[in-house]
Amino acid sequence: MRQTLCPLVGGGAYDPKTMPYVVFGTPSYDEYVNAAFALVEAFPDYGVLGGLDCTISKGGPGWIKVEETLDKAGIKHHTEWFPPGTTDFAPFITRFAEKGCKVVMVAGWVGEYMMFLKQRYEMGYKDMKVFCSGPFVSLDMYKAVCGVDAFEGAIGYYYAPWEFKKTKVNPKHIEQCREALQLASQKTGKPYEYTGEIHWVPTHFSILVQAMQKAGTVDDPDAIMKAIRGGTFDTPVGKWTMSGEKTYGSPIVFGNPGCLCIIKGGKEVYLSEHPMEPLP
Amino acid sequence: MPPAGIWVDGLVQSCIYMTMAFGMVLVFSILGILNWTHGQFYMLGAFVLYYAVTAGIPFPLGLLVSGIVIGGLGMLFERIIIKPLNTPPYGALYVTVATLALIFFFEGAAGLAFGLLPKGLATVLSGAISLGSFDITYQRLAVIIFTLVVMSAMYFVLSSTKVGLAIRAVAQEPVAASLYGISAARVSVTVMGIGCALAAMAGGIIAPVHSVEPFMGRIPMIMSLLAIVIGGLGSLTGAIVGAIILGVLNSVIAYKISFWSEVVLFMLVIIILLVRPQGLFGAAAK
Repeated sequence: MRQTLCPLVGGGAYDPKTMPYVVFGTPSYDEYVNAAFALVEAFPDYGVLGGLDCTISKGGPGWIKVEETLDKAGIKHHTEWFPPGTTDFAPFITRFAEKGCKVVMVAGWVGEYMMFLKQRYEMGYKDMKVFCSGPFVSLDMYKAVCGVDAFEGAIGYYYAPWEFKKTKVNPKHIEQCREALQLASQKTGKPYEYTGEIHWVPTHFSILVQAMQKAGTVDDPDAIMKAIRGGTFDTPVGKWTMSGEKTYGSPIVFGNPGCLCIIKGGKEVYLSEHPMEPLP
Repeated sequence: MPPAGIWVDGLVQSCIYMTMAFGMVLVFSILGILNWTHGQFYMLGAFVLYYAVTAGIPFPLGLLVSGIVIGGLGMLFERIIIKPLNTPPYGALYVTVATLALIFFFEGAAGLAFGLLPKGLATVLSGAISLGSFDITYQRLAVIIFTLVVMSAMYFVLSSTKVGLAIRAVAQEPVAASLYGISAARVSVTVMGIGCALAAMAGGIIAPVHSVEPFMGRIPMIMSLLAIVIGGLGSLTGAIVGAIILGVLNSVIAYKISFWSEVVLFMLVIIILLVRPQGLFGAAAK
């Protein structure tokens, strides 16, 4: 390959200038915005949608796009930024409560999410709904750190494709995902619940493989990128047509349907979903 | 004016910094070094407490076990690493380099031994009491009560026991103390044990409030270091006052101006040092 074709960018922002052949940035801002829409649909009395992220991400292109899109959609929002290493979220919880945020989105920081979830419960804001940008890594870990009561009602991504209600998924992908989870459970010796693995990896690799087949090459990044732009791909998150336009410069970003779960009785239960659509 | 919950939250933070800072000042007073690994003893104490409680040991006893085990580790640490490097022709710089390196050693070892995913003890003291506009959990109240007990105990030990007298004597005049038959070496290892035990118990008491993971010691280490610098290096009273100022300010500033809190807080520390370089309770340089 003339340059590295990077099919997966793990988490957070990517830089179009240094990653000209990045194909998929995950999580992309599309995913986050879809989650915001799904939350607003699930909780129409959200008041002001809170957003919490680390100062490391401040000023990044993703956040700018998220806020612009929420503004266009007429969703009131308020963002707070915490310094790296923060474990005490009382000031931020208080500020969200004062701003009228009944739903708060925490951007993917698992440890910080657990602290926020726990502390808001302990401070008496039991009804404040808290979403984390990511599927739940380990339900037992959250219960141990947050406490069963504080964890109840927590919201996260839900990538089990058999749970999707609005996004249609090819049954072959559902079967593959179920098989993957079963294999993982056998290997680990306990139920494997983390839906992130059966989503991001199969989805992005299926797009890459289909694009390579269409382009008729495995080592020409330009041809593969051309096949991706405007192409339609069948994935575990539904059939999706990529934009024909360049997005954020060279990289093409593939979002995800905002399918959310809520913890009820200590288990993940489907909450709401916002399918992938062209964003406003 | 920040709501009452913010002030209480700041007080809880202060308690942790106070316990850690007290231990650091004790070590500095006797050994003349800053133990950069202090935060990692805090972390290890939290892990000992975690495994003790999950093995069925009651929480208060687990806290004691944590203090004893990590205090013992601290004493070993002093004998094997600090003492050889703190002796001529070496000195404080070598100790600094060694303790900085050991930060990463302890964190890496803890990651390998205990894993990197956070662990929790959320249900040790569950429940909260309502104080009108805010709730305070029993666990956070326990942090405040624990700190009061520990500080009182340390005051008693230092002011009314032979060990305390020996520590004060060596801190003031090590040569004169040795003429009176007080072994500076023995006091050094004792103080290191006490300092590390205090750090360990600070990590243990906060474990149910936060989570337990290998990198949890970094921020408390920095904050307690700042507390003793604000308070005055070598001053135990200064360590307590510095910790209270830092903890409360951290919470109030974060409430007022969100992510600018660290910038403003550390700028305040610099201003305090420029105005009073010896710290609030330290002796001015001659």
